[in-house]
Amino acid sequence: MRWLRILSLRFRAALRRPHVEREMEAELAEHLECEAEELMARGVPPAEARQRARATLGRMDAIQEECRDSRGTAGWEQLKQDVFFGVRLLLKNRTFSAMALATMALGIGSTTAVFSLIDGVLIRPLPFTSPDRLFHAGDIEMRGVFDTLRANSRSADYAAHLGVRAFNTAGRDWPERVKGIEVSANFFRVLGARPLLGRTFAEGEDGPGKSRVVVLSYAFWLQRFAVRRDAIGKQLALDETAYEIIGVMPPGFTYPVAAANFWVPMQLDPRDIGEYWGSGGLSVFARLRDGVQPETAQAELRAWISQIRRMFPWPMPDAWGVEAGLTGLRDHLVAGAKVRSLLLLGVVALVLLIAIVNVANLMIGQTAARQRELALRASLGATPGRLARQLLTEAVVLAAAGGLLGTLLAFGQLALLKHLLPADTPRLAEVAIDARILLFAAAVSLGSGLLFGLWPAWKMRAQRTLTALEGSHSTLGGRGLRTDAVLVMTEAAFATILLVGACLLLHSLWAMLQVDPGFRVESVVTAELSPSRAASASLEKTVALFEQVRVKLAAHPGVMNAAAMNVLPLTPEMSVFTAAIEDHPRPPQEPQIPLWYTAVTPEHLDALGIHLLQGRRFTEADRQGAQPVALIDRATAHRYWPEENPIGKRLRPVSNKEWLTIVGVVDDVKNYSITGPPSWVEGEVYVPMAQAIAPPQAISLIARLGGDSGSFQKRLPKMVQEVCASCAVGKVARMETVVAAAVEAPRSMAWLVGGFALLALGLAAAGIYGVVSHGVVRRTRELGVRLALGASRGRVAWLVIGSSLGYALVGTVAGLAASWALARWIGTLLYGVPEHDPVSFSIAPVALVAVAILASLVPMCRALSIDPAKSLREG
Amino acid sequence: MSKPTALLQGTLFLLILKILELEPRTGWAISQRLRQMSNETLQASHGSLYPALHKLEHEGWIRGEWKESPTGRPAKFYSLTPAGRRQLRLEAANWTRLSAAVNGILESV
Repeated sequence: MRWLRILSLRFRAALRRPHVEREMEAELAEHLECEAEELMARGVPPAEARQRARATLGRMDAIQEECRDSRGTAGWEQLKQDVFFGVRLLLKNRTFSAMALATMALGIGSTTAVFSLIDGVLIRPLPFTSPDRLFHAGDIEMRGVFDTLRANSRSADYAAHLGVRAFNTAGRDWPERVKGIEVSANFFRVLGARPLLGRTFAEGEDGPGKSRVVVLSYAFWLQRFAVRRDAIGKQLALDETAYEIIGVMPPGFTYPVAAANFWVPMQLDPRDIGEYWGSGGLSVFARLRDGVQPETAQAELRAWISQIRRMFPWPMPDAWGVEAGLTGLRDHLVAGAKVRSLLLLGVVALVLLIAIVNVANLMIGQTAARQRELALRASLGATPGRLARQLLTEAVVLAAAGGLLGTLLAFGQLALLKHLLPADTPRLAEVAIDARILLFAAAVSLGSGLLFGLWPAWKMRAQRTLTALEGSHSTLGGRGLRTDAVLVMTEAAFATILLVGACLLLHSLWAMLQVDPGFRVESVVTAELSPSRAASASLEKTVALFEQVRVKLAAHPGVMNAAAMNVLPLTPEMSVFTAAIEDHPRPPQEPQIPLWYTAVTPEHLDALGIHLLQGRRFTEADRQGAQPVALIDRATAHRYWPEENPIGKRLRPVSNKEWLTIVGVVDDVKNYSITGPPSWVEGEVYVPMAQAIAPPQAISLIARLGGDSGSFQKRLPKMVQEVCASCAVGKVARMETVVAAAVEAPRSMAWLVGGFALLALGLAAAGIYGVVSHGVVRRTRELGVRLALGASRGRVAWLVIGSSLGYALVGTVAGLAASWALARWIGTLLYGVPEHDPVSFSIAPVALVAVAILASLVPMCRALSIDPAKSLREG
Repeated sequence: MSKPTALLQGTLFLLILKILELEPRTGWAISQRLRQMSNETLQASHGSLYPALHKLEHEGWIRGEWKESPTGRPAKFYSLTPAGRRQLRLEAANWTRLSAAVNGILESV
């Protein structure tokens, strides 16, 4: 209980100070009274008695001060004093404060904004019950595999969803495309997500019975039903099929993508062998049952995979599924964003370090200017420790103010960051500044305050106060390197690292923009068209409909060519089929050859300006029932028939009996992404739309225009409606936009890192400027003597610029060495640029040295204007 | 500002605790008792009595309470806490050991 009492006394002493003070005075007064009474009782006259009583006690104020000391509140009091003094000092030295605060605010703001991003994307657990029990099951893409696992696993509860699917639904003027997700019936239960209204799917609703039920997202409910509760039970037409609305999810639930408007049960029908065993695209995840370790669940999964391999209606390669395994669901979701996020964190950490170094340097300069004040305090009895504490407190006050400003700045920076980052960055919507982030900002501010306060404080402890009082100007820094010089070199090194990184990313972006996509981008307008189910009941009907639309567009004045294709180039949508290639047989137990698949109308080559290198193009005669034909690209021709003529060779989709004959070779086009399709795709094939291997659900229209595309873009949906009222039209855009979207991720990264590098360069310039100009002030006398002794102005100018160059060069060399070692981390983000790219590794140091010279110009002019006589007199 | 040396301060603490062992007293009463007990030798340390009292109170060894004093005015009475009693035993033992050791040295030289 003693500690409790002590604690309460301490608090009382600290918080109820006036009261405690009054008590102390009363106590001492009582003592004097008693003492005087005692003396008077011995016959001393009252006046003298009082005086003597007072004398026995000694100096009252000293006693009171000592009492305060022993109450343990002295530290508290001093802290308060130091804080007030620090604030006053900040208000007095406006330039210093403004520079230091701005630097701190930028550093802390950037760090906080990026940290909140990292926190939201990488660190924060998924918003589900016990998210650490959720795992992604990799390499299980078929419904049959999932269904078998779900029915048999004893260690985990398996659930699944398909990728985003667009459905046609009634819009205001004409049909619209809305994105929904097909999920297994236990999807919500396994995630542990409860509906806001109504219910989620019941077990079995994904079975062969075809339950037409839909669960809405909050946003979609808000947009389509204005949050009316009676939406439950209503019908929603999706692809002309009525779905009953059975539930609405709460606002935060948008799994697996933010764009999910609703969820419908997927179809798990073992009788539909092609879909059940043949079509992939399933994302499978699992919740471990209570007490089950991930290793156990993974072992069970592997055991099942080898059994399921034999359950396929056709022989599966031995290698199928051997990679299947469990990874944490969150790690799986954000895997793509991890490198970028961590790179950004590293970048802002460097910016923050530069900011800290800068402020430390400012503080050192400031302390030097306060040498006399501090010496005076020391000679009046302040211990070095006391002075160091004062300086440290001032630094923390500065950091706190900077942190406050920085946090405000962070809100703006985060908004900018979210705007700049690609919209498909996982969990981006969840990112926000909350109490934890604010705590982080506070901790970083305090930490930086201690860091940049420690240098001057530590210097203060070592300081010989006497010399400072005498006011002697120290002459030359002949003895080793000064702290500020070392700091500014460090700063230059950090800035070099950032510059190299930014140059690498920008160079890589430039290389991407130089990539020839293989087609003519200019004056092409594209749009996505999806016919209703009725209108696309058969391939023949669909192709006829597309032809009508195409002819309608082609008839529009200014349109030179119009064509249709299933997937646009440079668009991240998978379009792959597995094929057997003549002359290149593979044993049946091995995987067959995955080929990129593009279905096109004959005008496609002209509309996109793709060169035909060999053979013939598709014609109207390549229709259903005619001999199946195909075009391949140059790389594919080279890969399979390097010495032979590919024309006349054949390939066969594994799902078909008929062989396709290759009739022509076209130039390479960048499909899927700027780096082409994923590396496991072993070739690229075009087939006529009329002979499409699978009937396309949606197609992309492409029109090459002779002139202005603006009015055409506006009229396009209307024109389509005139031909096909049930067709939904979306994604009307110029081809340039499609191409730009393909480099969005690297572009945003390059701009972000570039921006931070520029910030770092600016801070480094400010740092160099500060140290060099401080050096000129410090060496005024020395420079004056040199000038008086006949040193040329050029020599003096060189002294100033040389010191600046020295800092920059030492920093740059260190920075380059560090960058060389760090470059492999950024390597995976680079395209067409080696990680030790000579261009980036030379531009960065040149930029830094140039900035260092610029930063020393003003101090140089000041040095040149020194009047020797005056400086000697004043010295 | 001359603070009492550690030894002196420690001694003062010990004496205060000893004086309070019998009954609660006001600061003035303690000072009177000190004077009597030490035959006026310790009068010089009056100035450090109150800081010492506050220190002891904050260590939790003594407790201060405002009560009416024999003079009729309210005064702060200090009394020993159980922790203070333990501290007194400890310090008394320490003192005995220390003074014995010092005496031993003085006598042997």
